Amino acid sequence: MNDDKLKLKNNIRKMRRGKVDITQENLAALVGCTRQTIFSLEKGKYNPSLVLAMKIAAVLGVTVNELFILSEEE
Amino acid sequence: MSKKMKQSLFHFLLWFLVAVAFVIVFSSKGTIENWGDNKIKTVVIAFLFLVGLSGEFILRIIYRKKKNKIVVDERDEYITNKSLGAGYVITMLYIFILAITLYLKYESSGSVPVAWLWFIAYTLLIVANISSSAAALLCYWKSEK
Repeated sequence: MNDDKLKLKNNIRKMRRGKVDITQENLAALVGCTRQTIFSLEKGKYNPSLVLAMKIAAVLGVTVNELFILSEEE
Repeated sequence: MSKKMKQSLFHFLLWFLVAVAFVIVFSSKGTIENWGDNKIKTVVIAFLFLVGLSGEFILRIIYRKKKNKIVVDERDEYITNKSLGAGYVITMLYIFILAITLYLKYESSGSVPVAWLWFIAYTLLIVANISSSAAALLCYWKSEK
């Protein structure tokens, strides 16, 4: 795998609006970050630290692997 | 717009205004030739920097960390680090280009007027502040659009 072409995609928006159904603001408050950070994460503009990724996964009741996918850039 | 982005915007505007006022004062007639005799201009420039630095201090107080309220998170810290790095490179490039330009301009006369050394000292602070806050604004704009 060529590292330059790898991109971290995520299902945060899908999971957030799915079974848990919480707003970006609520999720941000629960994991200890700002709403803008959740927005950037959902848009794929920012890659979170492992700690934040695990906190989000815990709040959404999924594993980090279910939330984040490492895929080749199109 | 996040709080840190607002802080970067105000920081940029503050130092931009200081830069404009500084350039107006510095480019007025006779400043370079008679630097030592221009006591009023020296005081005006010192006052401008007092405004810039105290404004920055006030911004830090307004946007300081508060209990039970998230003002700064890991993305803000990431952007701050990135913008400081960009600001450092821009400031180094600025000093390099300015020093070379002054050398070329005054090579034949053999000496550089002392006013230019003050110019370098003052603008170093202005460029460092403006470039880092502009870089932060660019990073925020790219990640929040």
